[in-house]
Amino acid sequence: MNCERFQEILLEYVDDALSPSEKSAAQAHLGECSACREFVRNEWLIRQVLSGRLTEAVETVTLDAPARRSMVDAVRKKFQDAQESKKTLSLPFWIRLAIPATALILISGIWLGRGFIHPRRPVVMTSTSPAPADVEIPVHLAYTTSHYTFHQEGAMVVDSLTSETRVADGALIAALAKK
Amino acid sequence: MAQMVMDDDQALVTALKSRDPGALESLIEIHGTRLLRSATLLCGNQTDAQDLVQDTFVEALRSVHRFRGQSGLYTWLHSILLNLTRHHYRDNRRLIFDNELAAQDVPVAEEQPNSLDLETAGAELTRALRQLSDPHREVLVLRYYEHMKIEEMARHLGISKGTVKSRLHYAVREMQKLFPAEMNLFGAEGTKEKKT
Repeated sequence: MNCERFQEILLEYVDDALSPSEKSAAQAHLGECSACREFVRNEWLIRQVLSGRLTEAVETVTLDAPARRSMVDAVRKKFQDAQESKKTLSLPFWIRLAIPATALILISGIWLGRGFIHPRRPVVMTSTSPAPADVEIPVHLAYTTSHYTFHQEGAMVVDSLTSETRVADGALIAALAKK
Repeated sequence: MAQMVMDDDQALVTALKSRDPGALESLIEIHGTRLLRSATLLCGNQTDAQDLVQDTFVEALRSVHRFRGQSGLYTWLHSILLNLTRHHYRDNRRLIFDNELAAQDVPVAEEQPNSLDLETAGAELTRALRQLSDPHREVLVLRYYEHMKIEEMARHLGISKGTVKSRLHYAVREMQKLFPAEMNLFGAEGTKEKKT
């Protein structure tokens, strides 16, 4: 174990929370490293100072018998209030189920009823646009392709680039509306 | 001893689940003071701490049926307290320290920087904790007041052990700046800077 690894497990070492093998490796390292021994000593001192400080800061804070009694009363009251409000808010299961079901039926009824209240008029196509017709569009394509070739000249590999122009003709059939 | 505590916890939990009228008194008698002290350190004043502890016990009564005994009863109560404290911070936007502990804010005599005058210890520490961020205050309280191990802290806070160590490192460094005479054991650079 080196110092860096020991630093990583320092707090677990102080907590005595290492596995037996890790603990013995840590102890072996401490046997030969005074700097890490100093870190352990300091960790204990920090613990001692801070624990002492925190304990002293609140040692006068106590729940004596009257304070306990009033806390019990306060907790009971808060708990009962919470239970009461829960009871008020919580409805029987069948009512909780009936509310969304009724809402769904009402919404569906309104939606379906629209057809009776405002009968849907048939859609009449009044557009004068002509029927579409097939149009043939001639297409002329010209493109270039590149070719890399490699050949050996003595001990060297030489590459060469050539290009070739290709031409293609054809037609696209498109359905366009006549203007 | 641990087994005895476990048995006591189990008996208390059973009594709470069956709504035994005396169970709440016992719960508050056993764990009330310790929780109140921890809450005071976490939230900075005894008035808010009282409310938080009351709410902790209310929440415990409401959810005791979910307690599985995977941790001790106090640890479970403390995790409820911690959650409520965080909500309290959030609701109040910032940590509000009232003057209850700070009222004892008497400067320490300069000629005796190491003497821990009991009357000023609380005020000094309150002043120091006030300057820490919430996560740093939490790790300090859990580590040095609740005496939790790193692994327990990670579980309790729901964060990795690495994050716990990192927060502790910075929290301790802050405290070293605030209590230089007692805690700057390696000087101003902190305790865990690598020596080269």
